[in-house]
Amino acid sequence: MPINVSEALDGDTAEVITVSRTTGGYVNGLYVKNPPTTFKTLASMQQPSHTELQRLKEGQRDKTLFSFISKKPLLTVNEKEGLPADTFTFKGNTYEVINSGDWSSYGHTSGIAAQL
Amino acid sequence: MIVEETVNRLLRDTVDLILATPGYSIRAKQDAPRPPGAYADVDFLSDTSVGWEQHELEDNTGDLDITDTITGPREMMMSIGFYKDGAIDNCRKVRTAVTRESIQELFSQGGIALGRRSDVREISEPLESGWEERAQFDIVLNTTGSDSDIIRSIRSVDIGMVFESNGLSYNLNIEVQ
Repeated sequence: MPINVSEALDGDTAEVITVSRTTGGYVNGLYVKNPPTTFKTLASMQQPSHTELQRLKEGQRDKTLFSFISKKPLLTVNEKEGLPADTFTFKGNTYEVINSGDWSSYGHTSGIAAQL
Repeated sequence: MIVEETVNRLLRDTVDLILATPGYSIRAKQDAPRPPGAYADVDFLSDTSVGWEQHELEDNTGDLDITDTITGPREMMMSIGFYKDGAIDNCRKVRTAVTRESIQELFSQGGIALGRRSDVREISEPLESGWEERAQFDIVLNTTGSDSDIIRSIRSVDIGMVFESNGLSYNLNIEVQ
């Protein structure tokens, strides 16, 4: 039985973030987003390590970034399904999930988000 | 006045029509995920004036002002890129098919005309999952740019003068209407 890391996420180690998730599609060649759904989750927000920074695509390292471990899954852009990345608000700023790892077997999602 | 999105939309519709695939082409540089399958994107590159603009001056009926209608020939360069399966074949097909009479008619209805085209360029790209087939060509369209302006009439002129003689000065103001 794998350790459920999400049990370590609580009010002492994590903060509540409001996540916005949307779908969309191309209409006459223009991408149209559907109205988003929002939900709250606990997430530990940290500065990314230099190793994590190296995983990012070109041009993303100079943005304002946060590394996160969240209780609910946060999704980055899904090109196969044509879905945009989740965004969330944290301390008044909006961030977009640009890197997301599926750690659902251990009860959490970890990734990196960049300020919009 | 031809706006960029109008031309972009016309080219997108043209590509879809030639390839008989509705929804195949999209506008380039959107902040959105790429389409899941093969697709084309249409991008604006440049809008060049050809010679000087023509000004047509027309008296306004309701007032003393003049309407200046400005028109001038333009060369608008657009880029059409093709991505994923069949990109090169589709690019070649569209580049040739834009000379069809039916496409010329479509362009004419939209106020543009085919000027010239570049070669088809093979620009496939290695991605994490392997090579992605890509191709692109530029297309130059002739069109007319227009603008208009209201030239205000001079309704009155104020002339101020100072006349000095024998230590005396006289101020004189004239208003010409």
